Amino acid sequence: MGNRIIPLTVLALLAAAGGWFAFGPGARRTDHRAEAEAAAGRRDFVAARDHLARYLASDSADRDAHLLAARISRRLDGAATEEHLGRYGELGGDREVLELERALSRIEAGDPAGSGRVFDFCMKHPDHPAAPFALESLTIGMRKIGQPDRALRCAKEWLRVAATPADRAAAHVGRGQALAMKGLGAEAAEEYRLALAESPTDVEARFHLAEFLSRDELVEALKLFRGLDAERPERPEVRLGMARCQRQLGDHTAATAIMTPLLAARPDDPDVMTEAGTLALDRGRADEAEDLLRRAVSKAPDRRTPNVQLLRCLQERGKTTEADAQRARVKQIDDELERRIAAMSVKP
Amino acid sequence: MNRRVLIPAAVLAAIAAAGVWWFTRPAPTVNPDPPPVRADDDGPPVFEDVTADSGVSFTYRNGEESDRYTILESLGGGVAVLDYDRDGRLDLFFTGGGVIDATTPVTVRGLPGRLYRNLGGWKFADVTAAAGLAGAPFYSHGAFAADYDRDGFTDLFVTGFGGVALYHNEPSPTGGRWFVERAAAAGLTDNRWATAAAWADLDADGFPDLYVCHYLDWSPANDPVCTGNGVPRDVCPPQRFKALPHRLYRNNKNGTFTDVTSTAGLRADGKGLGVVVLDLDGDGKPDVYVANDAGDNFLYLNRGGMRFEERGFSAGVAVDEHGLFNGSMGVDAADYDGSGRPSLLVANYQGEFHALYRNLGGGRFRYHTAPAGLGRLGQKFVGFGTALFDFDRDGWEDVAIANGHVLRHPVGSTFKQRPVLLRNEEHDGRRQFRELPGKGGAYFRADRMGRGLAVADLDDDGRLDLVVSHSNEPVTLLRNVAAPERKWIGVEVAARDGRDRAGTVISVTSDGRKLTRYVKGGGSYLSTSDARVVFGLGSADAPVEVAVTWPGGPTHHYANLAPGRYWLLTEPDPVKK
Repeated sequence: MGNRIIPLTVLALLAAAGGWFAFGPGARRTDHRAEAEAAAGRRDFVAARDHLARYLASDSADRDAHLLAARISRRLDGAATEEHLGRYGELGGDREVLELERALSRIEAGDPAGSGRVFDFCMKHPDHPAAPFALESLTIGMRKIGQPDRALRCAKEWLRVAATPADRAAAHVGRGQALAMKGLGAEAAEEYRLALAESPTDVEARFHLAEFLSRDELVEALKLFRGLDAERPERPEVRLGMARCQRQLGDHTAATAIMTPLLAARPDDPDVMTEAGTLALDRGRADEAEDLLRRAVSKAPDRRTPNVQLLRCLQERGKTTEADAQRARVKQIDDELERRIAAMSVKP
Repeated sequence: MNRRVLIPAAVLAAIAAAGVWWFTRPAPTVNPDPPPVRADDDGPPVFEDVTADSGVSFTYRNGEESDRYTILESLGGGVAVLDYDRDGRLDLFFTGGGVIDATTPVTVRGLPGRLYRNLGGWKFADVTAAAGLAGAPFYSHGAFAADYDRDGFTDLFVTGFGGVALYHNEPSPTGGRWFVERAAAAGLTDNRWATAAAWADLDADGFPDLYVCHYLDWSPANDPVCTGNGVPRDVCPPQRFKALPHRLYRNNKNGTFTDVTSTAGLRADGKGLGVVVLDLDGDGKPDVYVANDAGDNFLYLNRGGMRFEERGFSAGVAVDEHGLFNGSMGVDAADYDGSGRPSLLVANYQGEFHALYRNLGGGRFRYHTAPAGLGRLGQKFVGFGTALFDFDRDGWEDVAIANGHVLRHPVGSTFKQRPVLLRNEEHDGRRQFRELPGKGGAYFRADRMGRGLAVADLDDDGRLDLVVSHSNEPVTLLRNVAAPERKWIGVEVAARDGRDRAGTVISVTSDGRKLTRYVKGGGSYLSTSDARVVFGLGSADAPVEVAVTWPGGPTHHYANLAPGRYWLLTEPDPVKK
């Protein structure tokens, strides 16, 4: 773990955070506040955010509610995190708690500074109320910086201290994602299944399991994706997973029915363009595929999949010279990926 | 048998770590769907296991009982279908494998193969000793039949670890026929680990030349210990070894061969396990496609004069959809989609799909596994024997693949695996392969250690039967009992003056549809199939016209041929004519 010294000592931060956990929230609960906390406990962060928004609309001076909102925002897209932390500070919130929250945000974003000290503290004080969410942030952060072994270790400790089935499920998913990074797909899938044993409706576990199964068990994967899609049809990643499954199953009609509106809704999304291009290639529409795949590559020039599909397309179209150049580009990307994987294998 | 980790891991890492869409949204209360219910036991059998009463009782031994976990034990053996005594019935030769003694270093000994003479009525007699095949000069793998000296009798080439054997079919001193080993005298002296091979006339001189795949540089002196998944030892992956160069031998037309590898334009790499020879780019010359383990597959386009150009990558047949090489074993080619062009089917390792490369014409192919329905099989299989053949005589080429793992302790799959039988059907506006209800019979519902697979009409009823070799399990004869009401016509071609037939293209137009079949060199895995072709005609029972395009030569038409029987079509002699 990183060895930079952060401005405030982590020990102090975590101790303060523990105090906040023990005595902070709960003094002025309303129904929405209580609902938000309950939803956060079961990791239903969207519901928690919505309840808190309603609560804060009528009681915007509740600093602890802002802190909770910041934490929930961090688990979602992070868009409102700093706004709530700012409000928390303005309302006299504990400065050390504030700094801890910002430190965890940085770790999750891929800045490992201070992560070693946070991890050491969690090892020494596994019963500290801040330990679970600190280990969660460490798991995410280590994965983000391409250190799956470290992420696995953090997730293992997180699993030990996680209090609720939802948290344990999340820890299993964290382990699964780290294992997937190491290319251990079957082991990753086992973690996702363990997560579902803890929390049968866990969305992340179902999504990642579906992604894994889309290699081997397309029909089962498609059912999982369909279940997720029925719950929240607006999620593009699920729609994309469904389309991939349908394409791999050889059902171009069904895949096209998904991809056409998805592409219209997300015309600049490189993953959508890549899948649409691959589908066009499978359907024998190489000219259409070439246009889509060129656009995908322009949006994501370093990503392997659009580059490989464009290479296939150029080969099929007999554009030999350009295909040779594209092949060299894919080789370059492969070399870089191998270099990154070699870096991953560095021992913690 | 590829154990690639790096690139797939990188792709997963890219997906997982980059967070294409960060996914943290919670779930309402919907349980995941239960696993699909599979009606495994429904549906009529397509093949019946008739081994027990046939007189065929033989098991290929790979030597794994010594628990030395050598990669040698992973390949298995094959079967050759040949009419060695020209009595009009197809006989069977199985390679025997060998023994790996648990000495230090290990020692390897061969076990004899077995030749069964077809007595008719699904009865066979063991004639191994009388045919001179009781010896076991080396640990054997593949068996490849052809009349290499054009004396009218089919000879046998056997590959393995420690040598190759060229069994020349000769009159026996006691009457009948027997085989005399002549590899060294014929110039076939490369004794490095040989696997698949293909006979075909590659230089258009009428005599079959020989392509031999060599595997890798394992030996008792190069026998590393490899750890397995959660176990102290398992079979080493092929990546631990260096590839051995393949060999191409030109037939000297006098019973000997010349090694032309260095001048033919062959690559020096490639851990070859499968090879098929036929005209893949439509120029009239037979080309060579090689399935390699843990490396790019090769497409050698025949440029004439025994010169070849390797165009696998640019043709789109070297790697898979992700631009990654596969662990390829078995291979076959056929016109599965009615295009009149042969596409390639390659059986691959776990974690990969079996690959279908659809022939687009002009020497270009498209990786077409998913559109052809093969994605439905998933990636748990380790495929070996591979056949495209029309088992139900509807005019569309179907698929059989013999599967079985090479690792003793595989993760995410099983040691023994069920073979698959897939029917060619119309779905979503194109030809796709689908497993049958009931999988096609009891044989296809059980897990096995499948390796060699040959297709042959052993009872001449126009229904193509299967013969399968397994590692350490008895061989199996599968009698085709599908769709007896359907019409068919069988064709055996005899090229002028007994010249080699591989590369011949045969077509029939029936019910307005043109059916195209190919006489191939090599194919499947370590095996030789029936050289005759069968056209399924469905319900059409009118006489048909058969067009035969001879290798590098003209097309001849044979009119008014009645279905329901085999026809021997001979190439007209242009001089006499």
